[in-house]
Amino acid sequence: MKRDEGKLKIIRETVFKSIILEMETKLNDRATDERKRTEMIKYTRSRLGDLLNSFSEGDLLPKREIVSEQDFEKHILKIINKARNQLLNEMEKEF
Amino acid sequence: MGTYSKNKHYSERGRTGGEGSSSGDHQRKVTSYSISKADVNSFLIPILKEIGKCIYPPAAPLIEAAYQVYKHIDTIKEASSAVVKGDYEKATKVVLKEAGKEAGGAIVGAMVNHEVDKGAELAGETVSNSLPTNEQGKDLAGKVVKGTGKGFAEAVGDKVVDKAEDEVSKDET
Repeated sequence: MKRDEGKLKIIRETVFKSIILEMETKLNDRATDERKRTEMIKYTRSRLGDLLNSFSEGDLLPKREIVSEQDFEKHILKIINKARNQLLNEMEKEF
Repeated sequence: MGTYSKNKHYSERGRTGGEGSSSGDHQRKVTSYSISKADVNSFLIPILKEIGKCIYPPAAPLIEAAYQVYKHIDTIKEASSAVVKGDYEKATKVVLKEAGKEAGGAIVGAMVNHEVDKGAELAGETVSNSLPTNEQGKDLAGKVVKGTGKGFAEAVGDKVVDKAEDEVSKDET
C-alpha cells in the first residue's frame, strides 16, 4: 500500500460524511416529503462520491504536516469548501 | 459501508431533457433519482451554500475520531496485519507501544471494527489495563467503538483491514 493511501481515504471519508451529515440534517428540517429527501440525498451522495474520487492526491493531502486536531479540522474544512464549490458549479450547470 | 459511487456514469444516466431540449428546465429530471430543477434550487443549492462555514456540531465527534485514526494510520496498518492473522495480543501491543497511552483504545476499536464486539472488548481491556486514569482515552474509545464515530471507524477500519488482508495473502503466496 502506498504510504499516503490510508490518509487519503480518511480525508475523503471525513469530508464526504461531514457534508452528507449536514445535508441530511438540514434536509430533514426543510423538506417534508420523505421520498424526495431520500432521492436528493442519494443524488448528492453519488455526485459527491464521484467528485471526491476525482480529486487528486495533491488536492486532498495537506501541504503542511498535520500536527494537531485543529490543523486537521482546518484542512478538512478547506476540502469541504472546495468540494462544495465544485458541486454547486456542477449542479448549477446541469439544472 | 459503500459510501462512494463506484459507477462514474451513474449520475449521467437516465437524465431526460438536456441541452437544447424543448421540454423546459422544470421538466428536466434525473430520472434515476426523480430530482427536479425546483428541488435542486429550493433545497440542495441553498443547503450546499451554507455548508463549510464551520465544523457542524454533529460532525465534530466524527472529525475527532478521524483525526485519531489519521494520526496513527501507520500503526493501524501494522496492527491490522496482526489482527488479520488472528494475533490480537500482538495487535494490542503494537498499538500500545507505538501509539502510547493516548487514544490507544480508540485505535484498537477502529482497527478491529469488523468485529465490533471484539474491538469493544479489546478497547475495554486496553483502557482498563493500560489507561486506568486516561479519561480522554476512555471517552475516545467509547466514541469510536460505540458512539458517533462507529460508522466512520467501520468505513476506515474495513478498508485498512481489507488492504492488510491483501498484503497478508500476497505474503503467503
